[in-house]
Amino acid sequence: MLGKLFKHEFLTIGKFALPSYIVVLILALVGRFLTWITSRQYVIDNVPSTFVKILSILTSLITLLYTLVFLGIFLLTMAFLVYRFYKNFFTDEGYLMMTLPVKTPSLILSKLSNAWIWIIFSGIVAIVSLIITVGHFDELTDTLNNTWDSIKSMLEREEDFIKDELGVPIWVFVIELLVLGLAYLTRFILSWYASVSFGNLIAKKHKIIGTLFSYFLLFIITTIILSLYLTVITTLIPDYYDKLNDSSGRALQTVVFGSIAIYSVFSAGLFAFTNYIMKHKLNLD
Amino acid sequence: MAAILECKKLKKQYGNFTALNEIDLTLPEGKIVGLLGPNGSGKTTLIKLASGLLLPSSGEILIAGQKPGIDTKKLVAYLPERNYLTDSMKVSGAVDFMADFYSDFDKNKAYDLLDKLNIDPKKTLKSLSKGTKEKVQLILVMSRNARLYLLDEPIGGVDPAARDYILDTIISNYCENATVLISTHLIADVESVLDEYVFIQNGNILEHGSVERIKESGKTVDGLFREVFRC
Repeated sequence: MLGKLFKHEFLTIGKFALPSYIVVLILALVGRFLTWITSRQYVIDNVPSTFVKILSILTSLITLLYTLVFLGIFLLTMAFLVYRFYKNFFTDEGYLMMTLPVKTPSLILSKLSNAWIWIIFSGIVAIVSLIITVGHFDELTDTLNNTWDSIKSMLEREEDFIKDELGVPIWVFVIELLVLGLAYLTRFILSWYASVSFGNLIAKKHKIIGTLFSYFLLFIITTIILSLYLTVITTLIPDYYDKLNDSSGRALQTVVFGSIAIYSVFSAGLFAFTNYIMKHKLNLD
Repeated sequence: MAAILECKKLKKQYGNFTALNEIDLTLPEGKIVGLLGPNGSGKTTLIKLASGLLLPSSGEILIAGQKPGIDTKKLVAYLPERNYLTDSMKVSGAVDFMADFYSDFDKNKAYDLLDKLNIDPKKTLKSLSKGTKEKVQLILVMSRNARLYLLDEPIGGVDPAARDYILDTIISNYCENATVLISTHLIADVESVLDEYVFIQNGNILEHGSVERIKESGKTVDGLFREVFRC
């Protein structure tokens, strides 16, 4: 059933997300084309200068619009994902979704897995559009190749040093960073889901204010828990900060794994909290 | 006859307000039952408890002997009085959605009913009128071969001419051994299709009986309702 839930959610989000991504890519292409055409000597020499000026203004406008959309794409995707969670479960649509013969964790997981995919996808679109806007393709490929070669040779040359600094080979470290990123993203998304659920529970009418208030509350609670955690750690290990500050790879690994562990614990707590509210306290008007 | 829905001292409270007050109710299989009462009498609360959207404050509610959960949701076809479909969805998309999640959903029946009511499956839901959306939802619910249909105000939003057609759709599209619980305050309209009636007021069951018996005594359900609920 999770697969079916995922499929329907993916298609619904796609209807909104794909057109916006296409708009970003088209804006990037148009901007790139206008920049290219107005910089051609042939155009400058043969086309009336007023027209070239108009083109330049147009180019600036398109670039401005693109920059706005580029900056907004991640934010928009995130906002839409949270809105979908709210709309699907806590408004009239909840009458359908919450009476389906599926388990509540599957409902949450179908939203979470879609969030992972669409956020990563929005990142890819942002990077591709940036390459279109700024890159001379030939030069870019050369630059990328050169950078890759120099990184590769540096890695080979300094393998032992890097291993000593990081505590693990570089590829393991890259995987660790990816896992850390995913753990952070999961905690971030789930904290919004928990806020929507709790906001719906406490607010009779103004659900959005309830959600924002819950997010703020959650932020304070998270900060308190983290400071308590650090207090406990520093009490148990008095030279904790000295150990962290020493530059050995072990300290870095402790930080990375510690962060992954903390984010995972928080995520599990937020998931359980959201699941509890949806299962036992769902309060559809 | 086996009970499809059973309430034992079922109570639901919202804060200090008692929506259902320790009711006992047993509905057998194979009947069309009218859940009749004024606004705010507890009809929707009872239906939401049976569909698993709410949890009882005390007592219990059983569907085919089980507490509401995934297994009972497979048996229950629920029509809320809300528009629960995503507006950007096409009618055909809604049919696919139901077919994906309910193994008892009959796609052919759904398309047949849509055709009879002149609803174009290619249209998006947002392009349909409120009444047509309600008809689509009713079709989706009645295209399931469920054991218990919970219809909350199924004819409230449509014009009187369409009401007869909808009631006809309901009675001609459910299996003989299934039970249909219709909540409404438009008693005269549904009276002709009912086997049993349940009168509910202020969270209490006032009467539960057979429509045939009322008819034998020369009365109508509508008449009895007016007598019982006289202001």
